[in-house]
Amino acid sequence: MATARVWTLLKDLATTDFKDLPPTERVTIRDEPGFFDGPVGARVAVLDFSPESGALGPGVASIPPAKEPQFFRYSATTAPSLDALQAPAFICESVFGTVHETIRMFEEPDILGRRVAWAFPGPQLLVVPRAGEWENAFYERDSRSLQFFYFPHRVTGQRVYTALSQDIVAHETTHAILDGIDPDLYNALSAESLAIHEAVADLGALAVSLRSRALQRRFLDTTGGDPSKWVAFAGLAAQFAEGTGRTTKFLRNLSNDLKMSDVDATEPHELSQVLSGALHALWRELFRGLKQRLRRKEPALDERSAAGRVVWLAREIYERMAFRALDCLPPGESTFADYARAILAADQSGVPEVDGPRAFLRKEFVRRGIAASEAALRVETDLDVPAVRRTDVEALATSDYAAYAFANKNRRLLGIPKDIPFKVMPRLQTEKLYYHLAKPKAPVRETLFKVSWTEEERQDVRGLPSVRQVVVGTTLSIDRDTKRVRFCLTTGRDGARRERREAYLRKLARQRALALGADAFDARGLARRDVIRAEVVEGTLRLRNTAHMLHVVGEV
Amino acid sequence: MPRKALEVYAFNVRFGDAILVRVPDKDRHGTKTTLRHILIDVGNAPSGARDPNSPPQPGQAGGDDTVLTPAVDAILKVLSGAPLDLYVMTHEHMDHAQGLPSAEKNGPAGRSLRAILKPKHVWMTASAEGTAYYARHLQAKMEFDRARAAYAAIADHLASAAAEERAGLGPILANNNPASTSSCVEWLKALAPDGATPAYLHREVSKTDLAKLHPFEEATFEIWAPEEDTSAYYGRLTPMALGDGASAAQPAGAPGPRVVPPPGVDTEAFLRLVDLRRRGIQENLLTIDKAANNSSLVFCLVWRGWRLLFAGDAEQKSWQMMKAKGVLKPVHFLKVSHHGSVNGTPDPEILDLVLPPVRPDRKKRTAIVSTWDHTYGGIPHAPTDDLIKSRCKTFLSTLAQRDKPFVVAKFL
Repeated sequence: MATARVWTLLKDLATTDFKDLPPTERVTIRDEPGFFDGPVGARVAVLDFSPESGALGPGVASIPPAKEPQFFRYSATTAPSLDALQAPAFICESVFGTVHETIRMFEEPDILGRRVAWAFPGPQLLVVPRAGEWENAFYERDSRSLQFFYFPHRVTGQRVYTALSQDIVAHETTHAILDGIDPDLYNALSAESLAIHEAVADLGALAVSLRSRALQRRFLDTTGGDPSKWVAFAGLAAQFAEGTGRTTKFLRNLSNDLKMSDVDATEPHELSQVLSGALHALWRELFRGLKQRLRRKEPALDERSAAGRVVWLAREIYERMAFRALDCLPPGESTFADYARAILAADQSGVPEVDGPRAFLRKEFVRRGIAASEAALRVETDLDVPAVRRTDVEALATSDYAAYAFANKNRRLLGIPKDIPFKVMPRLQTEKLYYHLAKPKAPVRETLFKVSWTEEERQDVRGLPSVRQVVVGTTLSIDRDTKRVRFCLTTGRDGARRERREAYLRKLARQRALALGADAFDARGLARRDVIRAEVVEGTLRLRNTAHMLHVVGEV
Repeated sequence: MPRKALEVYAFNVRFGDAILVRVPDKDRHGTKTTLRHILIDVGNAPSGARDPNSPPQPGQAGGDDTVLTPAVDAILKVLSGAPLDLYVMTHEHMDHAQGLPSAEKNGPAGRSLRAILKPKHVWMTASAEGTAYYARHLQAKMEFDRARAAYAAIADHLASAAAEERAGLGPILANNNPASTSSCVEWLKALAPDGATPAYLHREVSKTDLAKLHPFEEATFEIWAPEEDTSAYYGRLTPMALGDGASAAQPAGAPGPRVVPPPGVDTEAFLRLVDLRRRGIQENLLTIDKAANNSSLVFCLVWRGWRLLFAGDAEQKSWQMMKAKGVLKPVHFLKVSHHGSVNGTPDPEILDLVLPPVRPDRKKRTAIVSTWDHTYGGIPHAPTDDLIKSRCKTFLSTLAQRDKPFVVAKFL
């Protein structure tokens, strides 16, 4: 297998200039069969279409290693000069590196503990770094691509490339990864489900920043380790915000105190900030708590030294809590409360003896109106379930027949109503790290069993049928070695879910964003991309491709 | 003396509309019958849609300007010197508007069609009024300007784009060309009698006002569409992968480089991406096209118990508006909208209001579609034809009788 080392842009040019940081850093891409011009690898291919002619350019040339075990490269081993940073060759190299860095983060044993899978068939995510002029970027499942646009800076007129924003690239890559994890969110009926996509994408972008050694060092050196004085670990896409003439310093600031009642519940980007704000607060709390504990243990340590010793650990715990839950989310429509329970279940089963961060999060979720009470967030983990104990878990993982038979026999356990059809997802085999105070951290072989079904609910939206289909489901996590159930999570029924779906559908209908029947297709019979497809089957509405383009800036 | 029939002629203009209606119209005393004539549109997809450097592509066959002069000659022959009582331009598209100016330019030297046709009244869709209309409807102006800007960007881009990217877009690009359409519309405005201007119509025009805009005494008219404010018809434009045109790699019209997947790139994914990038442009052209189609003047002619619906190129949005406004009623004749596209004929739920599955009376029902193949993707659309055929005893198609100058439906 081959390895490459590529240069990527750190944050964006506005941030590194302001923070007096080197604008680039190198990342390593491992375990690839090879690297072609583009850059092109087995899982990610950068395609540099000329924005002027539409023709595909040659991309940046791959430089094979002179001898093993050296690395593939795409440019000199020395950092590119400032002048070279806006050249198409560097844009291609940088975007390739950031996409891979984001993937690597999610695949670590502390997070998914498995290779990410795309929501589309085929091995490669295509990346178009100069897709045209527009103040936006998006992930699109149908074209299996990330598309990054550019635009003239409102003041200087200089071209701003969204592909040269680490935050934006990581954000869109996270959309693609999350789509592979939970494809049902793509057909969501509610702004809240889409807002999970947006919040996780923002948190993914933040996490990639938190991993930068250069940013960490500067953070420690300039603030002594005080997150409240370091906006680069909270604000996203500063250059984009500046270039588009926003009055705020960032496109979004995750260090916020927003509650559900403060935001428009039908606008996914706005709504997402409540969830991302809660999880960003978790990072600050982890960092503060760990630092405080260390200083209590070692009173001689100054603030900066203590911060330096815990900054990496705080990031690791934060990433594990925020992202491991993605695999645990029940399939189908989800609310922030569902995601909150998934976080708490994954963490409680993984680190059962340390409840502090979970206690903080429960309070935070309630304080922000995500859950009505801490009791509503209660989850049970590490259970002995006779039906599971008696099951051949290996067969469950590999045989569709065994999986369907198990689900059908254990409807009650899985929350599947009587006499309705259901769908069993391909089982996920993961190997994640788990922590116990008395023992060293150890990998646990886990099978994630997901099942979904549709339920009908009445609606009163002008121009739409009176009934709609809602997809809900259950995720069952089984320890393959002990056959103990690590947790079993079913889509919640708490809160004003129905009303929120209704409000979002009303908004989509009002904005003419929904197309029913033949109107969803163009004159050639191809599905239109400018609308959300609303299908009516036997008088019941279901939506398709609500999130058909996941943009960094909201469109609907 | 035998009773005279009302006749609807659809002249074969390939991909376009040229409809002539001959109406035996009794005076108010019921004693004298005058044969009155309504000419609706006349145009087809422009020949300019052809790309001389490319092999024949679907989309070119229906665009042939040379058929227009013979078609207009055939219209004049049916008119036999009778003047037009009414000329109607349904909407501002070349396949509905370019026929008469083209035939005058390319026909016998010195022939003035205005002098021959002598229209007593000219109706046009409201927005064809132009500047004055958009001064009254600012939202529509904003949408119209946005669509024009997108069109200009697409046209610039395609002029230097790879051949694959241009393929099949010629007809829709030419049909929506604002410059050539404007010149045709201005020509048609001048058809109005001396000192008069066309009547720019929309559904909100009152019955009393409408009665003053034609000479018919027995036949009556109902305007079903468009909305006065056409902003309702504009859809959202998709972001496009267009350049700034500053450094076009190819001279205009030249075939561009072929797009092939580079080494290591999944071929299926690559071709899919290229297709979807192209579709962004196509989709916006269709969105622009659709907005103009939906501004079609849709009217119902009521004569001796028969109801005849002339739908122009109205698409789904217009049909939905008509339904929402409660104007849809069962008819006995349908000039099939938008050349038989899937979007031109409403969903069955709406079609039921116009052509109910069960005839509400004993009168036969007829539909005429004026269309051509290999011009616009998806046209003709067999399931749409079948749906309409299931509701009508007679279904006439200019394409099915491509060697004849016209098809005609008669109503007694």
